[in-house]
Amino acid sequence: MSPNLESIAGTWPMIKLALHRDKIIIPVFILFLVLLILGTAASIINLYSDALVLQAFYLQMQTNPSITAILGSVLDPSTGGLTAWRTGISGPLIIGLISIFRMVRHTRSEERKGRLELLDSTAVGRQASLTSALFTSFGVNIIITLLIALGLIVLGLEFTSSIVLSLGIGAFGCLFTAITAVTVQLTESSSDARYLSVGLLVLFFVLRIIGWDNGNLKCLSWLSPLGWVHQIRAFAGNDWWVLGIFMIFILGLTITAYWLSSKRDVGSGIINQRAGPARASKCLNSSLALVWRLHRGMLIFWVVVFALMGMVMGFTAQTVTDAISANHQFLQLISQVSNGGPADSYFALVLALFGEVFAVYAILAVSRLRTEESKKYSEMLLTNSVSRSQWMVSNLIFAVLGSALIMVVFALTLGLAYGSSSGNFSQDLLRILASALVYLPAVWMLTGITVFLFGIIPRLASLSWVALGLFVVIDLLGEFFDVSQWILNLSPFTQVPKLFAGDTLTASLGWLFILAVALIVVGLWGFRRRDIIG
Amino acid sequence: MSVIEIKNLTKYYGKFQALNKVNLTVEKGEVYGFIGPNGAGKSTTLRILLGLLRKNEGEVKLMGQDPWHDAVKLHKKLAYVPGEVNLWPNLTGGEVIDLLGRLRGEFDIERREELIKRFKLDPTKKCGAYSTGNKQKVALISALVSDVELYIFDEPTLGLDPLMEGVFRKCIKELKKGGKTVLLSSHILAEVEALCDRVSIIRDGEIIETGTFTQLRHLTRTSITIDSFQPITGLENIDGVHNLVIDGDHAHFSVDAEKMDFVVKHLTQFGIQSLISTPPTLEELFIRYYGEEYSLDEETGK
Repeated sequence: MSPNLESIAGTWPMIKLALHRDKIIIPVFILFLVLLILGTAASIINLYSDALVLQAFYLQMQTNPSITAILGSVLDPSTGGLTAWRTGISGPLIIGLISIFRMVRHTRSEERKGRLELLDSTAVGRQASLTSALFTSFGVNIIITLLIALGLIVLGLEFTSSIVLSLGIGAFGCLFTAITAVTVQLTESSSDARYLSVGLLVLFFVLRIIGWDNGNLKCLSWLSPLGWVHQIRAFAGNDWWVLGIFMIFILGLTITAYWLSSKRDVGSGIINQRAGPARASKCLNSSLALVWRLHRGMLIFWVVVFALMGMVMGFTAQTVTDAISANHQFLQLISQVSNGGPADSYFALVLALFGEVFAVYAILAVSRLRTEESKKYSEMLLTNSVSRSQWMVSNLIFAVLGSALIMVVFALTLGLAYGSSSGNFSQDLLRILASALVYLPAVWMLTGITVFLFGIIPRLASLSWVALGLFVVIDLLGEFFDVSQWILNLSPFTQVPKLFAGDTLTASLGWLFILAVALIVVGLWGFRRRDIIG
Repeated sequence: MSVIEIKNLTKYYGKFQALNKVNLTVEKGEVYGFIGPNGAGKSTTLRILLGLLRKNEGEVKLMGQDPWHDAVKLHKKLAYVPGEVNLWPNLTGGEVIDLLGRLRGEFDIERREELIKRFKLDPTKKCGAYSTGNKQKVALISALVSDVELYIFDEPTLGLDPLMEGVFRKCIKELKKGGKTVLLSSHILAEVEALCDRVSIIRDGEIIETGTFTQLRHLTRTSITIDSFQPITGLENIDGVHNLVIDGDHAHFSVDAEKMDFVVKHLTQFGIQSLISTPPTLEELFIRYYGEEYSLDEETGK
């Protein structure tokens, strides 16, 4: 580091260090998000260039409450309006997650590793790490905003509205950058900070769904920044002033973060971690017990979040049904495609959207294996009386059964909440449970892919995220394009019968299950034969 | 039967040869030093011994068994402390000690308390909040708490302060008294010199010397400083005298062990006023083997 660092001491070298450490992950994040949004826009433009087709699609979307409940309503019947609508939830969620993970990584995680102490002692100002993290995170968000705006304009969408749309997404990213700048000051451990921020993101999502446009709690949507992104009304009037709300909160939270940071000691949080037990509980005596101890926080978090989510979606289902029943034309339309009740299309959509979310848990749980290996925690067990298979299987139990548990809890609360309001309790519950469970082989497929990579090519274990990203893109493509069936078939989620949409069980589901098991077995076999590498 | 028996062990990482025909034998009850600069292959050897890495060629026997195939059985009879200790950040030190001890079998609670006291560890802190030295202490206590046959330490005192280093040395001496076998890898020579019966020196994946310290010293030069009554002559012609500096009746040089007798006889003819002879330290032994490269490593702190 250069010696001339006095005022904002050392921020610049820290920015360079942070950018160097993230030189691969930042471009990947940016590319993924920008391509996802521009891809959606391009496919909409491609598909609905004809005004009549566009109008028909708009009416279909607008009158389908099951879709507007989750994705919000389409505010303007244009290709731009559809783009804003289709990316209005996924765009902010993804940029929010990116911001959370980068902020935690460059502030609290660094502090936990003690690296910051080293930096702070060498003439680096006390706010340098926070400043550099904020600077790079805001920077990434601004680049994403610019690229999206540029892309949309190049694709031929209206100039001002394209800027408004991208600003909405960018502002959401900056907001979560600022939120996380605060949460990392509060907690002592980086995972707690991450949970706190992601928890808020989930809460905002839930509020947005409860406050959906056709519901009676519309005002709740204003409590959620996801609602603000919607209220900016890109391509439908462009309400610039909503960006002001974002600005106020971003500024306020950033100032709060600096204030908290100046009040606390390096390494500690505002909420200080209590000392733990000096002795381990009697049960902590096996690999499985340790894995439970390490996994339980994440598992409980997911179970609680999806119990909540299921409840919210279940209650919303009733209002969706009411809205559909009131719309005779639509009622007629859906009775032609499926023979179920009016809420069926809603459930089919909910499950299709969430199937891929559960796969995230399946990958996260297995990824622990690689994390534990590369951080050398596993060495302490594997040089003790724990065999390689034992260690791996005890982790896999949580990946396989944990994802099943989360899915069952989600389906149960969804069914219970809907059943309690529809009155048709047992039948609805069973149908929802069955249609959710058929997603398990597809979710386990991602477990299988991750285990396989871990066992055979551990350094590339994170490729399973690329695989999931690919499946998401394939499913999205299938929604808008006339993609040939063999490409769609690459995604395990294509193989899942949508029971609520009238599909029946097929043999391919069985094959999916067998393939997932085979991948897991090969992964186990590979891990027993290979070197343990850091 | 030897506790550790390694014959012609060879290991490749891809095309890079990490170990080349390494031989190492450790007898029961011995404290064995394994020294060499960083990156020489110490940890690789230990990790093969622990079944974490697969060997490419050669033979490795640990207490008569194969460390790759009989890993679990063997691990119950040994305790290992890695060079760079990483522990689950959400567990307290006390919990880790209990967990690792229990996995290895029964352990003595009083011994646990005694070790925690001796190493001055706060067992209620979360591992994520410990400093490097404190993590090291947790790992050391977890190993020492178990009553096993073999203890393997990889650079055990890297993060410890001198006081705790002393505690560690005492613990090793107690293990030796109890008839345990210890394999200690290190690049801190004073530590190895103070504790070990025999050593092997490894460099670039090859064992370049093995023996007791006395044996190794025979291979090295003693440094001599002399003040004589008459000016010294003729030293420059003696084979085995190195780095000679003569200033009238004062001389400083080093001499090969086998030429010692001859040189001292030669010196007496000039009349000795004072003579200081310093035995070679392991540092010198190191520099002799590693030469330039070793001093370079020290400078860059690698």
